[in-house]
Amino acid sequence: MTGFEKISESALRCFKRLMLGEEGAEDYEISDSERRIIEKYSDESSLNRELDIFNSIDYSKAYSKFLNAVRKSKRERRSKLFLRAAAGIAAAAVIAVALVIGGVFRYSGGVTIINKYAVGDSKRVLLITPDGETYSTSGDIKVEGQKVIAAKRDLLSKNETEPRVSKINELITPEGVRQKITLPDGSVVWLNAGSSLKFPSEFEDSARVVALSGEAFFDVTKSAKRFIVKIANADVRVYGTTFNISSYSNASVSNVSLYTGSVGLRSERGSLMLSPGFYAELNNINLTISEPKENFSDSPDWMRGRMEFFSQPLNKVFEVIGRWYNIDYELMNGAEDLEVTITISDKTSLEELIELFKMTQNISVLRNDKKLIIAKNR
Amino acid sequence: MDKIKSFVEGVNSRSLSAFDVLFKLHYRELVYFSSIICGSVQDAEDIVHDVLIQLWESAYKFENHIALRSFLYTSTKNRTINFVKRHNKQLNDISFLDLRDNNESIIVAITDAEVLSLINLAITRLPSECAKVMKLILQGYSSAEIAVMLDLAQSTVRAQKRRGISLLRKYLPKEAFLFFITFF
Repeated sequence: MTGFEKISESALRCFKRLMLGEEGAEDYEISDSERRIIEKYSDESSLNRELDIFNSIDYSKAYSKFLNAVRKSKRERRSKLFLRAAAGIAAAAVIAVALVIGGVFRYSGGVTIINKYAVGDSKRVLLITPDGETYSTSGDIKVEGQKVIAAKRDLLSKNETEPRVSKINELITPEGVRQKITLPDGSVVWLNAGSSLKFPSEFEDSARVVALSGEAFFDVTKSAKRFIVKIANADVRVYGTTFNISSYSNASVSNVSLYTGSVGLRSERGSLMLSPGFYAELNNINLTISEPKENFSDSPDWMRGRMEFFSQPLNKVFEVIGRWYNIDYELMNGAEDLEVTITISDKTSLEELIELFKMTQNISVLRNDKKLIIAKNR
Repeated sequence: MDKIKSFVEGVNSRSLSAFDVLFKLHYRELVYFSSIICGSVQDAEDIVHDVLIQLWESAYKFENHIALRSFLYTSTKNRTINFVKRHNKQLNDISFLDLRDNNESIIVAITDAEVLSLINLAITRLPSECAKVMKLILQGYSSAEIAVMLDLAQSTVRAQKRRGISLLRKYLPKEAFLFFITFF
């Protein structure tokens, strides 16, 4: 078919005439077939019907189907590819050994996850690479460009389940475990329990962009390149600073606390700059950002291994406790609304914690298996 | 502009992320076009699926976005016509009975799909108040009528209309496609 350009221009003419009316239409002749199309879409019921048909066509479902088909045809070539990948990993290992033997150690970019900084059972922290490989972090892991340097036993699963199309790594901390990671620009992120951080192996030239679900403390290196943390409904923009973000997907409110430097918070509904010592809350439902409020500590509680609650309802308190101790819970008989003020250290065992609650609050706590049942005393 | 270029290059190198974008951008208009001919959206989806698999497995390279779209429509047209022939479909709509090859009805069907795709783009991508007003303008209502229907001041309707027109003007003259891709 020749002349697709003509068709495209003709479509644009119809569209302009429809949308912009006489005002938008330059002096051009409209052909009979163009007139027919314009009439078709000028009619309200016909327009709505056709738009409904158009939007009922599900392109993302179609794309998944396409991916499945492509995967099948790729399977034959897989063995060859695997050999090549193995050679790549071997080469990376040689370089790593050379660096250690030569005693060369300087910050060389790349991503590092040092095992000894984990709090809790680090085997359960997962790193998913852009190739779709999944690692646990029972040992140190380093990512340099395409290469992942890790102990063999840490490679839990290879790709093949789903071809991934991004250049993005994902670090996932389960309930009860915290982990520290150094990003390619030297910025450090402490990821709290039950969180996920997505980041590229190398940052783009334009900006350093990561995505957070859950809670993390950031120490961002200074650079002219903007650092952006994407959370569910907003962006946090920074240049070089320390701050904490809490944005769990099951919480109705996210919050950003700034300790040094400056950050901006931007959602669909507005934006705001934070000064050090202040925090702001983002309501995840209507996307409004609160006025900055004062914050009295120099790092978040969880970083110091503490949970502090000041006149907080018990359901909020247990949201955090559940994540730290990796335990399900159920609040009954109005216990959820009880306000408590309490400080819990991460050295407190769950048994001690239960005792503490029983002693200080008017509640009873039952424990069965992996679940706590907390009820207000009558 | 560069985004379009790198998109086409991505398709040329068979990158999955480029195909993801390809589905977002063109899948619906191709299916709609094919369904005008074969009369069923479901059959049209199967046809377009085959077209895109064939493209993925082929070595075709495209100089630009126009060439890519031209290929997609041509390929969809051929497969749709084969499908109709093979299944000896009874077409209810009399206007398509003369459908064989590169005739006027095919060109009209493609134009139709492209126009609908543009309208959908405009309506989903304009700010929502603005889109509401533009949708009614599209149906030929006057500012006064729209003011009554949406319970707005006439001056507000006129302002939204001016805004809509200037937004559309800004994006459309070069290539309609830019309108979409700028919002990625």
